[in-house]
Amino acid sequence: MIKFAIKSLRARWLPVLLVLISLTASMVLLLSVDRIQTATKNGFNQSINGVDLLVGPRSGDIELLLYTVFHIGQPTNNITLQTIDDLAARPDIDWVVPIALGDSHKGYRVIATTPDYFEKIRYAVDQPVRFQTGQAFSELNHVVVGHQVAKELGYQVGSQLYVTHGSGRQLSRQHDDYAFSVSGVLEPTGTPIDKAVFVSLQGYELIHLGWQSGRQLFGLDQVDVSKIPLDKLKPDTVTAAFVGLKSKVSLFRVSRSLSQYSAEAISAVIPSLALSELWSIVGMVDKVFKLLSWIVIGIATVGMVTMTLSTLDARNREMAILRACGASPLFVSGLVLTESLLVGLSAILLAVGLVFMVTFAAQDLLLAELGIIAEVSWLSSQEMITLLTILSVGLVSSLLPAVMVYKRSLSSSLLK
Amino acid sequence: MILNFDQVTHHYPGDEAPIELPSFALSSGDRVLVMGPSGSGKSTLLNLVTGAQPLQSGSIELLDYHYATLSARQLDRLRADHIGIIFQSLNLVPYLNGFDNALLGLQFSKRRSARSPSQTQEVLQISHGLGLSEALLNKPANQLSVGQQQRIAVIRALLGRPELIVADEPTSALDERSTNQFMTELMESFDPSEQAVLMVSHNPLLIPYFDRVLELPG
Repeated sequence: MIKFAIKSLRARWLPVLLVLISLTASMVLLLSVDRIQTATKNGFNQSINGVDLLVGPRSGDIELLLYTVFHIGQPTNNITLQTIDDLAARPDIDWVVPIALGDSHKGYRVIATTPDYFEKIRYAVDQPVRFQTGQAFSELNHVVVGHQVAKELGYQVGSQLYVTHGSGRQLSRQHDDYAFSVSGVLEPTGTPIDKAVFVSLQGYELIHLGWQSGRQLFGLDQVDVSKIPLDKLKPDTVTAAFVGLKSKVSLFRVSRSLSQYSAEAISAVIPSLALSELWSIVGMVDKVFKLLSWIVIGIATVGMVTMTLSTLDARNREMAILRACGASPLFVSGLVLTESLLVGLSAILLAVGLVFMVTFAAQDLLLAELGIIAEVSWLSSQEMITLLTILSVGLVSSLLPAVMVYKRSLSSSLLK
Repeated sequence: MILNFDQVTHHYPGDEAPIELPSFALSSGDRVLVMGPSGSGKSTLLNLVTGAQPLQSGSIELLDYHYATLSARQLDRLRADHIGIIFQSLNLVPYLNGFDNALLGLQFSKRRSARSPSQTQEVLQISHGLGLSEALLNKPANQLSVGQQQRIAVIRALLGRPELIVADEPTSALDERSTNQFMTELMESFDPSEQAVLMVSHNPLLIPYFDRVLELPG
């Protein structure tokens, strides 16, 4: 029967090929949407790793997450450096990396932090932030740029750049009295780090020396920068801090006790919890995409059934010959089903092959361009179920033509 | 005795009166031609004999099988095992070559394939008698002429030596010369010691090839 079906399909290769292409295309669509969704979700949930708590001024969890990890929005309050020192002094806390936000460079957020940032902050599954070229800042005027910043603006180690006061591109004042020099370019991470510019806290304090309440009182070109003692260059406040604990077991206890910190109103947020809370809002879009690709598959299935039905009349004769030779109605309708099964199976194989090939070939490109970590992974059980569902939907829908063949070959006469 | 067709009538829904078919019997070596105008029941007779239409009244017996007692599936098997059918035209499955089309006669019958142990040999032997070359057998069905297609249908009907050969106007698409050639070859290829031929046609040229003619009243 399979040999028969193959020969029959080969004789009608053009319409069969077209149906095969449309089925394959829709499956590729479904599979990629599924994989991109998984990759995006994973990438999203792994935007930050290795950090146990985010500490910032009292605010909502998502708000704190947004400006510390995704560099979106602006905190209304700051926390004092005193608080940071208190945190670092706690016996249950291993390390504290403070960050100060507020400035930008050509639309990219500037993050003032300590060199520890590149040591402590991880992404994906325990991936350290690596330098593509150069190294972390060691001088006042050093700046480290994320992969995308370097790529878009053409920066490399040694490039000079100015920082803009505030986050906007317009109506903001340039800190054009002090030039920074790129000391390092980061490797792509697929996280907001790629779009960030990093300076030291001291450098950040320096360019804000002459400023008060958003107005510049004097320029740095009027003072001798080299005469300013380094230990005096310490901001009074920072925006937030990343915190690592000595033991994960104490996570909830520390988080609760920080929220009750008496000297200042601060919040401590567990990143993974805040991330999944945020994903439940953002993830909706993907459901819509998934719905769309199911609709596409539905259309492709209808196409397959249409093809089968439209060829039935032409195949009436062929069926009669088979019946005359003693083929049972079951064989004849089984032939129609087998053909659909073969087309469906080949579409699945083709689609899976294509998706594998593309993810394999475009892995680096996807990470660099879209920040998606596409893993070449074997089909998940979820995907298997999806594909089998499509196959059975296809089979069930070709039952209609098969039953028609069965009935026709029973009722109609062989000879006319 | 191969076939006994006794007092069969068939009533189509919507028709006023049932078609009354003549009674007849076929033994080995018999060659019977059924003639009659259109609508006289020629096709009905063939459909009933081949078990494609269910028997309503009367009795049909093929070898020792009574059609009235057989299910549709059993009739399919009976047809596969004991009847070779040649159609008017368009006898072949278009996506199979001549050879595979011929072998279809054995595909659905264990009995017939058991009776034809060296299939290839037998196909070549019969096709030689019908004047078909081996090269033609390897051609796709739709590249063969109508006459060649009809000859392959004959091979298919004869393979495995079924007891009854049924043919429905097999020469209607052929000219007079080809018709004579085809009929001669057909009659020489079948085995009168165990087979019988039942043919339907309205072509009087065929009469000389048969022992008996059954006239259906119009």
